[in-house]
Amino acid sequence: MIELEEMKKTWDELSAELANQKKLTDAIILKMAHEKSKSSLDKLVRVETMGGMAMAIILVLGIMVFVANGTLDTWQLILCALCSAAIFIFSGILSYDFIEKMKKMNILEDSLEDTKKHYNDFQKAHGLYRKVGAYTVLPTMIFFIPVVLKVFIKMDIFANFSEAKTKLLEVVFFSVLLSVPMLFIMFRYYKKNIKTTSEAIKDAGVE
Amino acid sequence: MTTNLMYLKLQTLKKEETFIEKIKENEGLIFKITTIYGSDSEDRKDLYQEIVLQLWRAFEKFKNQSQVSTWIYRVALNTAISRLRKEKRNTETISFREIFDIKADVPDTLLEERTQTLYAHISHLNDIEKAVIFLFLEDKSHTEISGITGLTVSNVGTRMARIKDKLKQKINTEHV
Repeated sequence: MIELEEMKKTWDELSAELANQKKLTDAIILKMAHEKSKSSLDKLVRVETMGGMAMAIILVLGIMVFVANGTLDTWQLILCALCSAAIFIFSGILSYDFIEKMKKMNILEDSLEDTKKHYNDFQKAHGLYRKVGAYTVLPTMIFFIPVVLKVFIKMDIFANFSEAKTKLLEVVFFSVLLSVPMLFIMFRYYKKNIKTTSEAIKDAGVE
Repeated sequence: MTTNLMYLKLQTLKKEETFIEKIKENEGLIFKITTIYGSDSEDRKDLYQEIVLQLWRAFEKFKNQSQVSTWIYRVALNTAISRLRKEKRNTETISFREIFDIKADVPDTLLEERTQTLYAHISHLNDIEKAVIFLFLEDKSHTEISGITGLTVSNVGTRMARIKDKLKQKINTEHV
């Protein structure tokens, strides 16, 4: 007949036996490092994919307006639309490349050499993406704002600049007002997740 | 860079080092929880990893306000119970050989028999009762069990009485 006291005695003996056992946990910790980098990378992939989708929607809408409505009726506006589209497509390609580089990273399954290579590729892609992002903010505004004004307010700043000046300033003001905090939040978000990824890579002894 | 160096570097990182230390100090405890809540050998390994992962996730928030072992008990039991509820697994009686499958020397047969009986009795209890009896067997007072499980002290007492009744019933059935 087993009573609680007897169960307790058996448990104590069992615990003493188990205390002698030492299991390796290093492999599990490596798995944790992998999980840590994976979750921060997944967040970046999600944001990038959402950004890519938003860009694709803008492009499709832009093409529809351009082709179907003939709203962009002067060569200056067409040039602005084409330049905007070129910037979006280029950013989209870079974004896709960045996503692919992120997806390739797998600390757990990759060999050390592969992890190192994938991490370097990821860092390079991130550096380029950040640089291009910073350099294209102004050109995007210059090319995209006239298109936005024409499409949404039916105002051609090239045909009647003095009349469109106030609206242009308003759009620029609100763009800056919205984009600065957004860029700040995005920058912090990216910085945090890239830092976590780098830490995980460092934890795995790659750097 | 060799794999050994990789592990060595990993060990030098303070946070990981502290964590590894805590896990190694308490891995017997985690292992015992897996023997109670895991359904088979493979499931126990998975549960062990899951508990370590959950502990890792919670480690940043652990501010030494409670004892490390209390914190580990809490996280490990929560992980085991919620996993069991999520997947609705049935625990089977663990064999003694499975507990010591990584140990070279085989312990005595009398202990083997008693351990099997012990796990067989525990396996008939529900999730919460398993946690309560586990903590009781780990020498925790009702107040400590209450602190770990979130049950009130009086509820712990009630559950202990219920566990005793269940065990008695089980034993009586066996002897009829």
